[in-house]
Amino acid sequence: MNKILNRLKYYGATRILWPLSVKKRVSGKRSSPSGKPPFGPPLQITRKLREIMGFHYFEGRFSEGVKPVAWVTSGAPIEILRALDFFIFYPENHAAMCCVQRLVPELSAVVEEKGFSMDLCSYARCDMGSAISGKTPVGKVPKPDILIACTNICQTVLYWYRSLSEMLGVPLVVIDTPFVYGDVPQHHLKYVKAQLERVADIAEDISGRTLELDRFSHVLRLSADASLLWGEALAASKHRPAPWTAFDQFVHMAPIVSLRGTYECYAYYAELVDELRDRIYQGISAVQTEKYRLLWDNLPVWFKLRDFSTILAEEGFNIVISTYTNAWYQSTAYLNSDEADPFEALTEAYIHIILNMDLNHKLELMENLMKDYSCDGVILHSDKSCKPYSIGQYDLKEKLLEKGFKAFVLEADHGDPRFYTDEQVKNRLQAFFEMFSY
Amino acid sequence: MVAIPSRAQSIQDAKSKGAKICALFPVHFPRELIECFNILPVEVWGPPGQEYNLASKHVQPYICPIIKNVVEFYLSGGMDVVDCAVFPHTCDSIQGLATLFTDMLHWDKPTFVFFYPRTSTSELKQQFLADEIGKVINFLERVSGQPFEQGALESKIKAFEENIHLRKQLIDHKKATGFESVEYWKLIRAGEYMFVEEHNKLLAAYLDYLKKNADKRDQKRAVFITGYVPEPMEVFEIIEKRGFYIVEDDYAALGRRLVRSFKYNADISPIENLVRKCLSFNPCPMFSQNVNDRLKYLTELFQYSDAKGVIIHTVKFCEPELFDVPFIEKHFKAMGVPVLFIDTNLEKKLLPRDRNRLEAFLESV
Ligand code: SF4
Ligand code: SF4
Repeated sequence: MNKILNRLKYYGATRILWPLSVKKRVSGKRSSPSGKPPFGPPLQITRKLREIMGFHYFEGRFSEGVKPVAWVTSGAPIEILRALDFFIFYPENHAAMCCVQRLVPELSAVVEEKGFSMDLCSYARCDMGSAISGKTPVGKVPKPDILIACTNICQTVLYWYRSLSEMLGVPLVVIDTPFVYGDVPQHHLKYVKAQLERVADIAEDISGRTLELDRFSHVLRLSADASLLWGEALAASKHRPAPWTAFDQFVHMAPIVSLRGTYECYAYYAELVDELRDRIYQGISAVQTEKYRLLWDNLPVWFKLRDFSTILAEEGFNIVISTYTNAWYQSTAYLNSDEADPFEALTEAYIHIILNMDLNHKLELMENLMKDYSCDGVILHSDKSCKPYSIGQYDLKEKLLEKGFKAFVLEADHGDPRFYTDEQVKNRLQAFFEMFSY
Repeated sequence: MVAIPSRAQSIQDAKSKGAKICALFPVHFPRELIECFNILPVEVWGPPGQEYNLASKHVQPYICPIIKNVVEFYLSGGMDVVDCAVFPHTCDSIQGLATLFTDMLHWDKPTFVFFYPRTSTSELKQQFLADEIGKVINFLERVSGQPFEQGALESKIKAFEENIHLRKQLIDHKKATGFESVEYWKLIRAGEYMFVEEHNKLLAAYLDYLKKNADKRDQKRAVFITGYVPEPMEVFEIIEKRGFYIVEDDYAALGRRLVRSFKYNADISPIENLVRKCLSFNPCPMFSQNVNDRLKYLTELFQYSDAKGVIIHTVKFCEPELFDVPFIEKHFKAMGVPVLFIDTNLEKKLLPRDRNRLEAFLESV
């Protein structure tokens, strides 16, 4: 009976309520988006982004008891789950929203009060705080049937998901992806592949379905194609002036993180690429006077996106690409959906994630991005929360300076404003800008 | 009493006998594998009390002090004496340290990164460990210029079994007599930089000495301690001075690596034995998937110790340890056991604030 009720609620909400609410919002009064100096006109597709991400979270509210629900890390090979019709929830994406809305101090306080240290990753703190308190910017988060942590982004996710597993009483599956120093030994690939096959078995059990090869390959193709489109969208910034900024990219990466492997995600990026091409054709510049082009390394400072982009744009700087947004093109775009064994394709793609690769690789990648995107300099965000992304940045900076790029390390945190000082950052940025006046 | 050699003496002694030296980073690695090639594994847990004159140019302030101290130590020439290095893939920071050393800091000595599997499937774990150990053997053959010998590994595994046996006897002796001494901990930690046979001789001599000299039971109360590395060692001094002692501990550098459940099996190869030993590692936040397994294990040690309180002593910014702290606190507090949490920075001496908190806690217990 409960199951039938849940289904009715789910279909009623997603098929009737949601379309009505969207219609109302679209037809309601909205100020027409117009670019104010120092920016060019905003992207039209942002409205669609709100819609598809809004629907994703809206669907989540009603998914419990209707679809199996998995909470996964951002680097998890979700294609397996997608093919089995799971509702996939990304605590990191959810946490990023909390960061943007400056909810971290409040949500983190919930876990700090329980003894969790302020020095832990702010994504983990605020997400656990949300799980305990039920406070969330998305209305309601569905309770998971399973937690899947893939260590290709960090080991922190093992500790974080282990804690969640204990708090929520939900089983945890860890996909252990050994870090890549140089070449990947065969036995590492074999090990990862075997774990993915095991995840498929577990997911089949939970969903009560069988993983059909056709469906799996189709999802893989959608994932790969969406990643390729995302890569094309990023590449639009190779044009001078760039039609969008890395700050836009940070926002528009949400579907490639959360909806990978769906048609909606693919279609969204096809439309985004069209709009960016159109902007190039019309000569629209994201920053009205683009004088200098920069690369950004690491996660953004989510709660300062607007301030940062404005300070930079006022001085004629555009951050045209970042290693972070590029990661979603670099790895999953290599999902070879024609591979006879889809698990092999998944293994190759998910072990080769920037955060799972050594500093030589990162240096080479940064140099290539700077050349390809004609960057004059780089801002390396030394993110207190994200130790794996940040370790080595001081040396990367020195290497890039040696190669003739202007480079600057910004000490901050991607989510917790308590580790951020406006005045200090402004002064340091000012000093960086001065490097360009010689 | 016994004379405990310093690190430098131990290294010098090994070198004079033709052994090579391997820098071994925390936490879990089967030392017997390195030793069976006549290479001395010298563990690098800091060292404590460093100023970051060089490291601060390479490592951010919010990275744990183990990494900062190691970088400082290396850049100031502290590691010139070693021939090779093994980095167990313990956490994000050691993972980063390995690539920082080789890709950025001109570390050009032979290096191996050892992965301890984190998957929960035991067959996968077993297979992966066997493959990984095979790779370590290839590496050590290259470094030592010697072929691998099954017999050498077998005798090392057995010598380590003896080491565990002696340490267990010492623990039992402590439990029976209430004995506590910083010397004891220094002696145990000497195992981080001595060949196991030498260390066994010291342990046996110490045990002998204690047995001869312990005629009455000290009126002390036990506390249980869990954490990362016992630096500064002053923690033990304060515990002793305040009339307490430690029976069992769960420091990553000490008791956590005491693999009790392993027994050598002559029916399988030494390598298979080593794999089995690695599979028997005690619960550790670096790889455990389940908080409850660890809590259960800690409770057993706590109960065996007949302890009156629990001290959690981590180093700053150590994510794997810090994530477990609230669960350990909650668990023991629910049992009515007082708990103290301190995190230190690998200083030479405790900061006054930490010293006061430790003393106040012991008083309250
Ligand atoms: S430590 Fe870094 S990679 Fe890991 S969850 Fe936090 S932000 Fe993500
Ligand atoms: S102290 Fe913790 S974070 Fe630092 S190296 Fe050791 S395990 Fe890693």
